[in-house]
Amino acid sequence: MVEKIIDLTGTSTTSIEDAVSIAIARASVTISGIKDAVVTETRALVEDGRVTGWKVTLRVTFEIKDRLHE
Amino acid sequence: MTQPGDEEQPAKTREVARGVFEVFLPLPSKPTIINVWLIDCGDGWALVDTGVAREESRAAFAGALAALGVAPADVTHLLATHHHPDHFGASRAYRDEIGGRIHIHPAELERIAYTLNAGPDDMVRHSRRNGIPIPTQPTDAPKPMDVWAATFQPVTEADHLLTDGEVLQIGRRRLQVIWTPGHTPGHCCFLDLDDRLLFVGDHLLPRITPHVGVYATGPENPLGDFLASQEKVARLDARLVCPAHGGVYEDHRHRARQLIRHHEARAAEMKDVLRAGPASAYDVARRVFRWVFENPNDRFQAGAAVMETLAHLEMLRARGELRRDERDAVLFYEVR
Repeated sequence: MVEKIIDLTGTSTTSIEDAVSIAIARASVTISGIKDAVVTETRALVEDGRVTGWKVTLRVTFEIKDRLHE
Repeated sequence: MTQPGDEEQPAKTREVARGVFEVFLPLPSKPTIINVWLIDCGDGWALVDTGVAREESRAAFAGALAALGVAPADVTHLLATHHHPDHFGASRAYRDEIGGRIHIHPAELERIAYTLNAGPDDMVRHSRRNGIPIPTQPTDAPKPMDVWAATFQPVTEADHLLTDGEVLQIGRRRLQVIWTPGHTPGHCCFLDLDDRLLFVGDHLLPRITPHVGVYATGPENPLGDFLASQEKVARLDARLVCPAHGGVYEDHRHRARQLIRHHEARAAEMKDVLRAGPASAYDVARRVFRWVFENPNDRFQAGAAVMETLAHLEMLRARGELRRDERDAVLFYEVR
C-alpha cells in the first residue's frame, strides 16, 4: 500500500475544528480514502484587534487506489 | 475516470456507440464546445440538443450531417435537455429547415416564454433584494435577451411535452425521459434502455459543475432539486454517460456523488461564514467566491456567483438550518 500526503489550509469564522472540517469536506469531493490529517499549524486571523477567524494547515494522508484501465 | 478522445485531434463527429454520434459544435464563449447527439433510430434520426443560433454552429452541424451521409429530412425528432442557448438556441431554425418533432419539458417552454419577453425589472429587484449594490433605477440593466442576444432563437411550442419516466419509442430506440430539475426547472436526461447510454445535458458534466441559481421567477430551492436529481440518476443503470460538455465517461454514480459532496462542502463553508453574523447572499458570495469578484467588469459571473450562493442558502433554509429576515428590503440569512 502506498499513501499520498498533501498540504491544505482551511478557514472558519468560528473554530479550529470547523476550519478542519471545511478543508476535509472540500478535499473529499475529489479525493477518496482520506485516512487522517495532522494539523501542522494553527493561526488566529485578526482584523482591527479582534479575532475574526481560524486558519489551519493540514497534512492529509490518503490511500492511492489505482483504477484498472479496461 | 477514463476520457477517451481527450488526446485525439478535434473532429466534427465521433461514434461513441453503435449508431450514436457525438457532434462537436462551436460556442462563442467558454465552454467553447457543446456536444449534440445524433442517434440512428432505424427509420430516422433523433437529435439531442441543437447548439446556438449562429451560422458557425449551423454550418458545423450541416457538415456533420453530410459527413455521416444523413439527409437533414432524416432527422425526425429534436429532443431538448433544456432551453439554454447552447442547447436549444437554434431549435427554431432547425424545426423550420429540417422539420422533425420537437420534444421538450413544459417547464422549459415556460422559461423560453419568460426569457423572450422579460424586461430588466425582475432581475434588478431580485438582485437588490439579495444585497447586490445597484441603483434603484439603473440605466444600463440588461434584460435576459440582451445577455443571450442572437444565440437564443428557440421554438416557443412543442409537438410533444416530456413527462418524467415516459419512454419515447423512436424507430427501434427506446429513450426513457428522466426529469432532472436543478440546473433548470425542466432539465431532462435521456436513457437509451437498450444500449444503456445516458444523455445528461448539463446535469452530470465530467469536469465542471453546472450553475444552479435562484432567480426572480423561482423555484425557491433549485439546489435541493438538483441534489435530489443527482440521487435519481445515481439509481439508474447506465453504461456510458454522454455529456453536453467534455468527453463521454463511465460511472455516473461516482460523478453524481462528487457533485453532491461538492455542494454540501460549499454549503458548509457558507454556513460557517454566517456563524460570524447575519449576511445577505451578496455578502456571503463575496467571501466564498472571492476570486469571481476580483474582476469588476465581469458582472455576469459575479451575478451568477450571488445566485448560486443564494441557492445554497435557500437549501439550508429549507432544511431548517438557516433563518431569513428582511431588513430595509434586503434579505439576510442567519444560522438558527
